[in-house]
Amino acid sequence: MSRRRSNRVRNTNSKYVSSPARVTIIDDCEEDEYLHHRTCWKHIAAALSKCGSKPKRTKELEIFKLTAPCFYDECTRRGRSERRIKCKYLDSKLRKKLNSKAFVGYLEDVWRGFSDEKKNSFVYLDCLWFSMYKSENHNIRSSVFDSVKTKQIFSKKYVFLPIVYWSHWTLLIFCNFGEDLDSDKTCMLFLDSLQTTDSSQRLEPDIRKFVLDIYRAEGRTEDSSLVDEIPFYVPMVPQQTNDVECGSFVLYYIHRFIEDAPENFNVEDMPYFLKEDWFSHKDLEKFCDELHSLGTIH
Amino acid sequence: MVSSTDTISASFVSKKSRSPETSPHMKVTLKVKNQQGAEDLYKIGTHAHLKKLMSAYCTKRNLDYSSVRFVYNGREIKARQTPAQLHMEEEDEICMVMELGGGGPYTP
Repeated sequence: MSRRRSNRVRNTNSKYVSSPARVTIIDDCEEDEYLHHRTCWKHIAAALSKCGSKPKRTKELEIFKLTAPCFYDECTRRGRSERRIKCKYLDSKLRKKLNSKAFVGYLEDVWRGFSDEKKNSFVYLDCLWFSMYKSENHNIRSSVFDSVKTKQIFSKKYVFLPIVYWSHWTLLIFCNFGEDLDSDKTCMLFLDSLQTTDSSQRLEPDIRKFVLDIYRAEGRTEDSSLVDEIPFYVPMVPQQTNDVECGSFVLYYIHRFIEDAPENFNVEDMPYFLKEDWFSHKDLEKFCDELHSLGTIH
Repeated sequence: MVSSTDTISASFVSKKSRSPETSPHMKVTLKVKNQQGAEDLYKIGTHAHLKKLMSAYCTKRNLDYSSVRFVYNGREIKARQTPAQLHMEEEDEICMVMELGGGGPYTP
C-alpha cells in the first residue's frame, strides 16, 4: 500500500516536458581547434596564457616566433598549374551556366584588370542582393541594405547591379545616383541580352521599390513619385545567339561600359554608344578567351 | 527529463577530448533560417569551424554544399571561420540563401 503511493508521487514528479524546438548538437572532436593547434607561436601563446604563463617561457616564445609562423587562417595557396587548366574537362566546365559564385569570381577578375583611377567612378553591387531583396524573409531583406550602405553608392557616378532572376542574367546601371532627383541627371539603364523576353517590364516595379528603399535606408527622404519619375531606359544592345550566353554578356557589358563611359553623363545625349553595333560577337569571344586564359577556376 | 536533441557524432574521438582534466568548452546555440522562414537550431563550440554547421545543415536539408550561401550580419560566412571570430552570441541568427544560376561564358 505505501509502496504504491510512493510510486505515484515519483511519476508525477518526473513528468515529460517537450522542448519547443529540437537543438542539433554538433559534436566537435576538435572542438577547441584554436587551443589544440600547437604548431605555431600564436597558439602556443594562447595555450600558455590559459594555463597561466610563467616568465621563463617568454624566451622560448621568442624563438618560436621565428621558427614557427602561423598559417592557420591566412594560408595562401599556390596558383593552379597551367598544364591542368588546358585539359578538356576543365574547358567543358566553362560551357555550363554561370552560377553566382562563378560570376562573382569572374567579375572580380574583370575589376582587377582596371586601374584605380579608372575605377574611381564605378562600383558594383553583389549579384544576389536583388533576389535577396525580393525574399520573404525580413532579416535577409534588411541585411541587403546593411550591405548596400558599405558600398557608398551615392558618391559614385555609375553603380552596377547584376540581376539574376528566372535563371537569366541582366545588368542594371544606376547613373548619377548622388544627384538631386529634381535635376534631370539621374537615370537607370537596363541592359538585357535577350530583350524578347521582356524582363525589363516585369522587373521594373520591383526595381523602383528597391531604389526607394535604398533612399530610405540611406536617410534621404525622397518622395515616391519622384522615384517613379526616374527615367528607365532599355537600350538596344547586342543580343545573344544561344541560350547560355547571358552571363558572359553581362560581364562584357560591364567591361565595355567602364571603357566607354562618358565623363559626365547627360540624359539628353542618350544613347551614346549603347547601340546594336556596340561590339561584335568576335569581341565577346575574344573577351571570354582572355578571361578563360587568366586561369582562375571558380 | 527526456532530452530531445540530436547528436551528430564525429568519425573519431581524440584522446584529449576524453581526458577528465579538460574543462567543458563553451558552446553556442545558433539559428539557421532559410528564405522560407524555417528555423533550425544548432549547438556548436565557439572555436569550432563553421563548416561543420554548414555541412550539418546541408546534410539535414539534403542540399548541395556548393549551392548555398550562409550570411551573418550581411557578410558571407567562410568555411574556416569560428563563432568566436564573428562574435556570435547565444540564439544568433544565420540566414541561408540559395545561389542562383544563369547563362555561362561562351567558349568556342
